[in-house]
Amino acid sequence: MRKFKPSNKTNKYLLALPILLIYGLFLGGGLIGVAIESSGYIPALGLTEVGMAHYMNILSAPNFWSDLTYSLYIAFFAATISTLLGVYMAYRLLLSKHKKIEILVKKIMQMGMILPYLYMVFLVLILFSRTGLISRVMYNLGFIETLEQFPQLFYTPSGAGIILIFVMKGVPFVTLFVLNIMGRIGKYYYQVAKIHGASDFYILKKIYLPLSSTAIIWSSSIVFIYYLGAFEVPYLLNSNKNVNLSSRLYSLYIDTNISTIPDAMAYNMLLVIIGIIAVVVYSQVLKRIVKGGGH
Amino acid sequence: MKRILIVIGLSVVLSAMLLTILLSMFSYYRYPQILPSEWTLHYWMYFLSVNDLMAEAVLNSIKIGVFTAVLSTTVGFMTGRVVVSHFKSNRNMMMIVYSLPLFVPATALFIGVHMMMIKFSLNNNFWGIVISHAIIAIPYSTNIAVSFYEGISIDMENVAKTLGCGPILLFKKILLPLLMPGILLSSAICFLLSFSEYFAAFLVGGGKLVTLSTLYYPYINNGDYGNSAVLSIVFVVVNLSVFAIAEYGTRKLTRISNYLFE
Amino acid sequence: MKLHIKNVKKNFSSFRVLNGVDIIVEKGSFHAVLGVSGSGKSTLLKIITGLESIEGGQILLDGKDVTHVPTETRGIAYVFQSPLLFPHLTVKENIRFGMEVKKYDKKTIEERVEELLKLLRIEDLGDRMPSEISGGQQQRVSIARALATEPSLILMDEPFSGLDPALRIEMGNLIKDLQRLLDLTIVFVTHDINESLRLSNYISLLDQGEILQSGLTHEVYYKPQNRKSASIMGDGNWIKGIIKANRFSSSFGDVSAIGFPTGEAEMFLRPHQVIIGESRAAFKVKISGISRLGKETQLTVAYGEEFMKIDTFSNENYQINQEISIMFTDSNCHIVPCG
Repeated sequence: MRKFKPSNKTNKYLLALPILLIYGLFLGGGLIGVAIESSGYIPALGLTEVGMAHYMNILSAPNFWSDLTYSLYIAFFAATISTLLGVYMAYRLLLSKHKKIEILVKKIMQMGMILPYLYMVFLVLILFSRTGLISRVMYNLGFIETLEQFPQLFYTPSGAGIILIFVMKGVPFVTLFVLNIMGRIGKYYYQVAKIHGASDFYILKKIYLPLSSTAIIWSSSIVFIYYLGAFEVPYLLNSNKNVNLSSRLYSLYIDTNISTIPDAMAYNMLLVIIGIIAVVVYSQVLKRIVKGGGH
Repeated sequence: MKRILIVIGLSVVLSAMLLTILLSMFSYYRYPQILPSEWTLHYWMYFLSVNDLMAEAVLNSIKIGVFTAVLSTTVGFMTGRVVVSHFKSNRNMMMIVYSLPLFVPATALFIGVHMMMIKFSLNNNFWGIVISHAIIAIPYSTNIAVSFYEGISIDMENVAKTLGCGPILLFKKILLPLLMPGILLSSAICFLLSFSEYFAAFLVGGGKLVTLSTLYYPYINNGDYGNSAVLSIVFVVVNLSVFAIAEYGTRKLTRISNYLFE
Repeated sequence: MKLHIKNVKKNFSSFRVLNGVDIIVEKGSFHAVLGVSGSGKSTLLKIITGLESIEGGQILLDGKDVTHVPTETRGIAYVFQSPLLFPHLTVKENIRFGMEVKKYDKKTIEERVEELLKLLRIEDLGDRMPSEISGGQQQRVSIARALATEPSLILMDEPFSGLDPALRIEMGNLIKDLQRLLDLTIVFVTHDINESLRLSNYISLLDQGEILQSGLTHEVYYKPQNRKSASIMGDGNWIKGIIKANRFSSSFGDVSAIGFPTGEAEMFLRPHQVIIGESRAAFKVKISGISRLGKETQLTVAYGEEFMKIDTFSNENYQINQEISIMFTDSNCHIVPCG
């Protein structure tokens, strides 16, 4: 039976036990296991030589750095666009005077939140690909003469299609998360600042951004790291030339050649480390921008 | 201007939905025809009766989703209680701690999880997938739990104590009813996360245990519009129903939730 | 039930909130604890119910040590500053709550709920939800809920501070009536001097975690032991003088001071104890400040180097620098030896 007594220390540990078990065993245990195997130590496969060799293998591979740049590029752009649009939408919704439009937009946002990434890929493909609905409509209206004239968004080095899907999922997430906080802050500051003659943008920058900074940084960082580590969307829509880190990791992991396992594990560790460094840098820069509004 | 944007956005979303429905019922869709033609029930029949794997996958996904929701919500509300009553001053720090799984790139995270699942013989296993999904759902359920616990004044609990409530009665008569909207919300969100998750189910399920996502993926990859469309509709219908049920449920309890959040 | 708070000490981390508090609450009394916010009043109430632990001392109920008895079995009711009605229960269900927990039989519960609804004049609200009634009504329900299990002791933590002034007085009178009617023992915490004077028959003054003075309310009010006690309960005048041969003499003449030691002393008077009027015993003073508070006028007058405050209900049109005559009766004089 679950008991609740704030002063009782045993209860505190009892309540925290499940999360500690799950995180400790599977998240912590998994990462430690990966770290050990990445050093080359897998006795079950007869591998006992310990060292950094596998990390060197990965780091010296010709495509590693271009894959890294490509992954960071996609994550950064998708997260930044999602954050900009998301914060703007949240602010607009906060100030909205039309109840009906507000509800409608919120419903669309919630839809965007709950639709799976895979369905988003399907939607975007049937709409925005060269043979998609928009291309067809433009053809029939005479805007384009062949489907080649429609811009290629998918399977290209630009990663435009991937970013588009990420943004479509990211904007609702950021909007709803930030709106929740802005809603608690309320319109009062806006009204006061308006009386003093401030513009909407100025009020956003000087008042609402700093006050909701935690929510903005939080949601933006979560989508950033998600985009960096996401598998299915880039795996489906990558070009042959550029492959993102998680897709490359997966290919290495399922490689039937046993000797590549330590390499895959080293790759895994590198992705974790890169992810942590990238999200720390990203969130710190964002913090400067968002909180710096007051200076 | 604002209105035009909304209208454009709405029509894009609606036309995409509509096109999905049409693609599941018409087989011929050659460039540049705008709408597909050649009416057929082939795809739906395939889903409903020909391929047993499809029904099994949907059922698996729903079962996994339900158990993920129950597990994550339970763990989340237990953790939330500890966070709110014992970590008043370093709430933000705790938020980072319980959200750790969200800050590890998902692919790398699940490969590590997969390794542990093999160690515990939980790979290719129903419960293995449930736990994997719970790992990324718990940060969300805990977050919801924290905000709901924060909405309940500690003095409300104190009143109940002075009226004779021991810990169990306090939980049953006061906390549980007040947390109910949050429990509902958390369950819905964890279900949706699980239902939509592809990589964990694919990796830990190892192809032995099919879910809607793992079944859906190859159809999209192969550009099989008809079957993709059918599965898309199933996806959306299930997700929207869960969302609607959660919304209906919380609305029935709004008298309370208003009190908690307004 | 008689409550004895014995040398209670309480720390919040390294900060001492209560430093050896002693209070005796007599059965059937309306005992106010008066202090500014931050003086430790609420903490004291939480300690009495067992919601807070203590670092030293004892809580005795009718001589029985209950210091380590858990809150839910102490049987002490608590009315908080805000009503804290359970939002998922109706008014009736809220009132019934404690009786159900304590497994009263159905018939008793029904009867008692009806009785309490009537007593607190909320008969029509029984089936409403807490969010559908006003703040004052909510506080009535919370009082009914606290009274339902016939607690031996009721604690109230500024229960009316969220209400507007008129409602505050009405609710105060209601509680006072109930207390007399049902012979309740109430400990009432407040920072409002007037409220504590109006309601209580005993009072304890709490200041920075210590009891300055405890006793019958009018006695503490008119006979404070020191300047601090006096000032917590409002304005007052301290007149310096000397005690010699059982007489206290000051610039306002002599009054009898039988039994006091010889030496410097002070005489204490509340502003309304000073009477304006001509008589043989009157003294001339000069008005140096006037503030009109509707029916009441507050004068500051100068005598020698010192100032004195006077409250009067007279309608006279006083002017600054006007000379008036004042006096006071011997029996009103409260003399405190210095040092």
